[in-house]
Amino acid sequence: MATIATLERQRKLVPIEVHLDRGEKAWRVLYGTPDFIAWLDSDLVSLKTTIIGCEIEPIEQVDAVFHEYVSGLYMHPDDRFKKLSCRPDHFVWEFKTLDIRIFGWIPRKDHFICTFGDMKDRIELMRSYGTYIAKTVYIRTQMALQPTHIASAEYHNVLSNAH
Amino acid sequence: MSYQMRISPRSRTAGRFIARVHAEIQKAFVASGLKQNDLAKKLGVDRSAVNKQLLGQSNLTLRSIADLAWALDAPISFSIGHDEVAHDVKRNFCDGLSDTRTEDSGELSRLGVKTITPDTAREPEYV
Repeated sequence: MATIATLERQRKLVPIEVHLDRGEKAWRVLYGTPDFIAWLDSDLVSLKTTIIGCEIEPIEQVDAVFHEYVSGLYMHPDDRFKKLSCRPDHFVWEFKTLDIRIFGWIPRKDHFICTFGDMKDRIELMRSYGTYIAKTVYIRTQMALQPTHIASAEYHNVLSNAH
Repeated sequence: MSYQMRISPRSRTAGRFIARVHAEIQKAFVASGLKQNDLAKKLGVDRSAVNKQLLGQSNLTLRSIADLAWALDAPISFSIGHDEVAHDVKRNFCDGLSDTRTEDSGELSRLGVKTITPDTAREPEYV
């Protein structure tokens, strides 16, 4: 049985810090697996938007959605933060930006563990939503975190807002 | 050990601002109860253009933001500057209002000064 603290000590989970502006405080907490951190640090930086007319690059989109999450802003249910539909339901969630999808799960309210990130176009082209859900569930099972996840699709059970 | 994203302050500012503008427009659209067709009709544009604007897939100009706000019947508020600046402006303004402090919020809002609410954020809980 593992806790977030023990997994952090074992470096299986890495806290993701988001730059907060003056007067802002962290309201929610983000973690990433080492592989996800490697994706953030190398792959994401080189990605370019594929949307004509889009003014922000993928790394800016991800910073913006992470900032919304950590600072406790309202997360639009379908546009920014969504539970993926799957039968049986595995309660894998995604952060959504114009170009990027970030997968993970919620071990406790206002805590999110990121497992994978990819371009939305590529996910749709390769039809890899199912693969990412399965891989996320596999990582979650391997971690043996207690409690493993919040088995709820209700936003008020997984998110609280700072304002 | 924690990780902090490698993004320049300039990129960060642009990304967060643009994302926030889109989020505010989305929020106002949902609150209006209008359908995309209604909005397109009111603006005299094609529904696909409105759809792109709402999804953040088109380059919004100040004019198009103002048009959307008008069509959604939603007032626009805008400010640039640190909260401390607004506090200073408010304090200086209130200092000059010795006998009319109870009316200061209305005066301030007419002057475009944002009222700062107390910070109620909490520390996150860790396991």
